[in-house]
Amino acid sequence: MSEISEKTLKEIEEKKIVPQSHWNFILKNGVFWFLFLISIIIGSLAVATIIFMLTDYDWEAYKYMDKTQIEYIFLAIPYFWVIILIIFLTFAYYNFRHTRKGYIYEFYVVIVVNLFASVLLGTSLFFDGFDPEINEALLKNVPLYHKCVCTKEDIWDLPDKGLLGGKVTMIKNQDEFTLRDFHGNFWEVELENNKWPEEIPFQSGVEIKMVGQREGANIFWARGIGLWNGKP
Amino acid sequence: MIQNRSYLDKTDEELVTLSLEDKGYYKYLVERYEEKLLRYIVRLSGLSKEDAEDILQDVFIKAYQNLNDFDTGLKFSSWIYRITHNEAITHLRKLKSRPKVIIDQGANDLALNALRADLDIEKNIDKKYLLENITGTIDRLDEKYKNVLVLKYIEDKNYQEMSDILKRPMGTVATLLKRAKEKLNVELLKKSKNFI
Repeated sequence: MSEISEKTLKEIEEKKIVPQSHWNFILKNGVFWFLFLISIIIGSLAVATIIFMLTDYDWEAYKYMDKTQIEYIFLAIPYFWVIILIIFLTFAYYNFRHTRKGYIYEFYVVIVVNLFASVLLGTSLFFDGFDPEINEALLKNVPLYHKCVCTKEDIWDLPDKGLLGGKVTMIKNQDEFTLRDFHGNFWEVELENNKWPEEIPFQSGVEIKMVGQREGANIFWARGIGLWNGKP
Repeated sequence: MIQNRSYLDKTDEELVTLSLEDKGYYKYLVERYEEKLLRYIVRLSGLSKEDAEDILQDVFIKAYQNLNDFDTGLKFSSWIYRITHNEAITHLRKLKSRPKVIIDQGANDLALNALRADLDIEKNIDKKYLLENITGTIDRLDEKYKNVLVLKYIEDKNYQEMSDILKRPMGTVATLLKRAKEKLNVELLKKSKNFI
């Protein structure tokens, strides 16, 4: 027996060293796979929220704002969710890289496949009736989050720039009604030339968006009206 | 326990299975690899034989503790080289010293022949000069380049084995090796010009 093998076996004997259980390694590998899958799932939630926010955006409202189309596009990017997606793509890569055979694949292959999986799952989730509850809960409860995203409500909450949205609460007459905006403020709205669109029912409870001009503290003169979920 | 002679016919993988049942068999794996791995540690680290033996003992203990993690889809030699590589690098980082490449004369000739053929620099560099300076030049390269050069030209490992030992994709290993040769080429040419 060689000196090294003798020393090694002696140390194994003296310190009562035993091989770690097979299950330890299976568990360790499983943890990395689990964290990888969790990262992909969170990444897909981010993708679904991004798609929701982009489809919910009024892409033509820039015409009524003092912004170029490019500036408006940059405003539409949900940076918060893009960053979340990047973080979890990185986390997914890290975990995949630490699985038993993860090192075999090139960095860009793993990232592209992860991104593809997140986009595929996120898109399916969106079309399968995605509930944007996380987004709404974050908007309500985390002020910092609201600073990172630009919502449709934010665009139609610029009365000084002539953009106002909310719910009709009371019809006064043919060309006057009361509206509650998304902060709960009440507005007296006057219509230009009785121009209430025919396709929108003129009744309380209807959610609308308006282009016009602020006339006073809580008075708005509406030049154009559209359904909240319709075109501006 | 099997007889001394019969273990020679066993594959590494069979010896791993047997060692898990009876630790006595593990000595055959140790004996099979100790010389190669000791040489590898010395080549990679430049440590004394005694220090390298201490690292090697830790390697065998660690490998024994992790025997159940050995993936039979991998060559045992790649797996044990990986553990050795990591232990040697960890040890050197603790000592905060850069690994030094030490090439013994037998390996030097083989490595140099392979390297010379690959680098295609003989027409530009004096052969004697190349022989005297190649190890020092490899030693001054970045650790990542040094690792691939040692594995490829001194340990004679193929891309698959290098990928398994370094836990890097084969494409990355190939790129690293290409860059390592380019760097080595540039350094050797630079030094030989100064020499002339």
